[in-house]
Amino acid sequence: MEPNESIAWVALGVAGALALIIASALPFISSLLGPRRPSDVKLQSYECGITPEQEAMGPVSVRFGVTAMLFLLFDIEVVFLYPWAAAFGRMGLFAVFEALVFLAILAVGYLWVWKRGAFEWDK
Amino acid sequence: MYQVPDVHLLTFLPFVAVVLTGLVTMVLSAFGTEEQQARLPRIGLLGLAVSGIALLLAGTARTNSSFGGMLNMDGTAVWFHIVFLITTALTVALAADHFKDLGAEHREIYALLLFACMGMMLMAAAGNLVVLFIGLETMSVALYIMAAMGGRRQESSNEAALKYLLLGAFATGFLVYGMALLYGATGSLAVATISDTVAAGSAHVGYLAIGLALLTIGLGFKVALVPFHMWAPDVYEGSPTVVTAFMAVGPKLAGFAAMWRILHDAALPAQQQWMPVLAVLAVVTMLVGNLAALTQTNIKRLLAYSSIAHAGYIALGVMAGNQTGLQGVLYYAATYAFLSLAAFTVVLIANGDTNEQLHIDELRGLGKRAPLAAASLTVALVGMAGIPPLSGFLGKYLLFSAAVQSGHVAVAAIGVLCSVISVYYYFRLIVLMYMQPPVEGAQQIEITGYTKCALVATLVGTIILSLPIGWPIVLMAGWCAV
Amino acid sequence: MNLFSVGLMTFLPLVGALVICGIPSRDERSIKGVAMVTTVLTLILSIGVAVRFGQLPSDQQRLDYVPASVVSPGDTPKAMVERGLHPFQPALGERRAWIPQAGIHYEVGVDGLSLPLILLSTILMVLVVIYSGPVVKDRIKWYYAFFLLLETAMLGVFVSLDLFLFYLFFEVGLVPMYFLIGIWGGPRREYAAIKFFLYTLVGSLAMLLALLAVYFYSGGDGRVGTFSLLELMYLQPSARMAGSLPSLCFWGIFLGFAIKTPMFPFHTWLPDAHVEAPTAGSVILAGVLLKLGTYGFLRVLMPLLPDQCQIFGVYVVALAAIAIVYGALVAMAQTDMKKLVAYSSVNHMGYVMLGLGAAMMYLNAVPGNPALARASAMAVNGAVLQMICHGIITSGLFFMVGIIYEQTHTRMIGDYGGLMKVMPRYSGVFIVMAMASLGLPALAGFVAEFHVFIGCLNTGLSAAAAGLEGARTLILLTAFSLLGVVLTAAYFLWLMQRILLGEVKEGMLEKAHGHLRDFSASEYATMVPLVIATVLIGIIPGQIVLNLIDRFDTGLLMQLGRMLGG
Repeated sequence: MEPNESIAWVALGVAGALALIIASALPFISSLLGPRRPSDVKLQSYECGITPEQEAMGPVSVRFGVTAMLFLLFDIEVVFLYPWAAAFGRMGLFAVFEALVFLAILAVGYLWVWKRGAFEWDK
Repeated sequence: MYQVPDVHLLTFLPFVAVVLTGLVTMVLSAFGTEEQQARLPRIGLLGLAVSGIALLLAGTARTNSSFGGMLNMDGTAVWFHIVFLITTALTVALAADHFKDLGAEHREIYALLLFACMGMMLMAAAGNLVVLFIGLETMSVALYIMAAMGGRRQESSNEAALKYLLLGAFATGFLVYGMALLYGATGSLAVATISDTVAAGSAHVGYLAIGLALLTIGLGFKVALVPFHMWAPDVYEGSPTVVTAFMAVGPKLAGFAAMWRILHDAALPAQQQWMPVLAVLAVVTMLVGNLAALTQTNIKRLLAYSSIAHAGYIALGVMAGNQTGLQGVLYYAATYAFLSLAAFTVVLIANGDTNEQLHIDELRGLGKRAPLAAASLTVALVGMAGIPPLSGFLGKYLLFSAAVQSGHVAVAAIGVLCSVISVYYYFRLIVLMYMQPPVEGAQQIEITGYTKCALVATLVGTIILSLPIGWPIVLMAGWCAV
Repeated sequence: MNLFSVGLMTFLPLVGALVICGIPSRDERSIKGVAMVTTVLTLILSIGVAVRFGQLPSDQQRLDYVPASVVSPGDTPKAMVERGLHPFQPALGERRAWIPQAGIHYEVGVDGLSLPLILLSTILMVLVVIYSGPVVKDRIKWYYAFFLLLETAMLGVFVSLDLFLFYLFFEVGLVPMYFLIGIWGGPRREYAAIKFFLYTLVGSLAMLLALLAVYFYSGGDGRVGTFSLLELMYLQPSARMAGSLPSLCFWGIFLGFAIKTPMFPFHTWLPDAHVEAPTAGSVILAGVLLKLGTYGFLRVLMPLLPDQCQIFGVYVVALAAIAIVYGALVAMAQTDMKKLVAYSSVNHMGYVMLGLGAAMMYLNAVPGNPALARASAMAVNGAVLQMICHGIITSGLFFMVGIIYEQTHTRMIGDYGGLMKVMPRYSGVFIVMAMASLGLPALAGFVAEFHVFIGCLNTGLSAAAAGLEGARTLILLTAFSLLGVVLTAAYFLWLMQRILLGEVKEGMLEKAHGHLRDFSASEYATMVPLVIATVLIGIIPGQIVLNLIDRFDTGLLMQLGRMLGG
């Protein structure tokens, strides 16, 4: 084995070991070091400052999930346009065409989702 | 200045045809009139046919790489594409008969099947690991949804879909991490560059080994190699039978195509590293698949384990990594596609419209109740058992001889032994169909429409592959030598 | 192109089977008609091939016949094969490229070994169709289609000169036989069918692996291997194998053929298969399929691995001796007639293997020792003749059991008695067949067994005279096997005594609804040819087959001996 290769192995091992140690230690460290003065308000589940109205583990409408998914999908797909925009100047017409194809497919998907009623809350 | 990549429309056309058809069926399934929606299967079949024609043109094209080497349309890819198109077409036909009563929310199956087909085609033609990954995800996501399209038996179908999704995502993690390590080891994601770097000996040995191992695990999940097969029987059992038929053929073969691309096209110089691993996986897969199939009483589970076993045989060809191995993998892929689809089609027929769990005893007397179905299943089972002159024999022969050629005589011997074991459970079904009287009150089964076409098509395919045994190989050898 | 060609003869039954598949299953007359016409035509073709073969000069009757025009001066066939050429042009042979990339050809031919077996198969098939006509009533379309497919498979094995082709036909025969047992068989047919299939498949797959190894070692140095038997015989790839691989190859191929034959201790599938198979199935199974095993020993194993044959020949002899005595003893204990005949097959196929095993032991001494050569050839002559005789006699016995079973629906020996009084003609034929089987002189079985035993003893004696190893063992084992002859006589005589002689059993008549009829026309037509063959071979064996066989094995043994450097 070449020397630089064995160093890389060591590096990989060290990185892995560190990750393991830190990840497993953190939860315990906070409970060891932190002061403990519990109060009713502190023990409530965190809801951005609003007083919670129900149990945190209660059922949630699946519509939230669908909406979140749709947001993620279209949001992430739009992220692809950033590198395209950055490289656009160097790539010319070809890139325009590519982006159009991409957006067209995205649009078809959007239409489909719309028609199938995913944007309507009370369907 | 950025170099605009070479785009050879001809090599790209098969994909375009499938994607466009997929989009059209998707739009129609939401916006179309009842009448248009009834025509969805036909539109899907038409699109696949167009893609097939484009593929034949692409196969005869002078060049086989497009998008700066991202797509590699060599003989191997074309062969796999043909298999995928046929598989998808047959599944579309089956869905046309067996999904039409399930209600509006199931009409997307055609679009999903076409998208999955496109994903599989990308995997087989991938010249770059990113393309391979995109193909894999396109295929997998479509499959996760299809697995949940269980109609009246939502529960087991949902369970199957969830199981498939979780384990599939898990496997994808391995795959991506493996690709990252491979990139780290060689500095490239392009298959050709990786191959050059590995051959030049300038790849980092450790990262390369771990990367390949992770990739093998990731794809091992997809093709259901033991010990990454645990999801397969449950998912196959719970999914709608039409989807199971597709799942047992398309994604599995696409996984092997991807495996061939990675292990052979990219990492052949490192064969000494992955060969023993794959040999062990193949042996364990053949043994576990066949032994577990022995005790199954649910026909879908039985076929699931049998498909695991077949993955083991195909893995032998990948392991050998030589010309015979490639011929074996390609020939077996086509053979297995027809045989497996025939078997699942008969399961659909025997099940009627109930879509309930099918106990193997319900096949009793099928020879009298549905002679065509019983004959097809018999051909499928005898073929899968590898009895000459049916195509399964030549396929196994090529795979085993590839293993012997690569010096793995003991591995081939275990494969042969497993074939013998498989005869027992395959022929048990034949016994039930022909040698035992029908269950009380069982009625004649009429086979009609698309299902009949699909059944006849699988039979014809098997016979074409079986009878003039020589020509597929001759054809293939010519192609793959390019 | 001559009409009486090997290829046409082999594939004609397949065509018949396909035609039958196209006939609607209601049209029983046409189905039977097509089956009859096909088998008779095949018989005629096979006779035509035999006549053509008989007219050839004796050197052209060899499969490895090389015309003088092909060999340039100073060249030899062996050297030509090593250069990748195929100089052999057997007179009735055919060779076409099939999958040349993998060294696979469509290569067929006949010689003095295969021809008698081909005739046996085609004759028995005609008889089977005659016999089945009035007897089989269920799903007759598939019944005849499977039999015709089986005929192509059997003929294919006998004519193949390419190992891939050989294996293909060897395996194809399994499926129709599986269905014949499984659909038209007795009460435990499913068990018997799958057992038959699995046993045979294990063996043949082991053989496939061994053949693959031989194939790969025949290539190398950038050359594709070959599956041509004739080329392999000259190339002797096993010489290039290292370590225990040649031995493994030997045992792999041995297992394939030994299970098919079946040799002790691989015989346990046979009684089940025979008992459950329909009569016609048993006939073909005993008459022809078992011979595929022994034929394979001579056609494949000995030419491919003569060295290993010589090393392991003594084990073959020992197993054969056990099979002979064990088979006879078990047959004696049977209460079921069909099972008795089945075990008599184990016993009789033991004689075949005894002859072959003895010849294997001293292959390299054959060229230099005329006495030994003569004795070995005699042993092999006996073995091959026994294949034919067993095919005729045992088929006849199975027909006899089937004929009576159709009326009484029992095969238990204890249910019968005094048949002589009720069915005199049946009983007469039964006696001829049983006597032939137990080896009564002037009937076929005797000639074969006599040759085997004299051949084996003489081989042992001349080997002892030449101071060769293992001669004593061979003589002792042969002597031990003679015990089997006595036992065979005992169980057949006892069988005849119990079912033919004595008082007529009341129960027997009741089971047959009060009346047992004697031979019907179709039963006559089935049995008379077999009786004639039995008697003719018994009286003039030489003119009928023995001379043909003798030319074949003298040549083969001499050639193998020379190859081993004798």
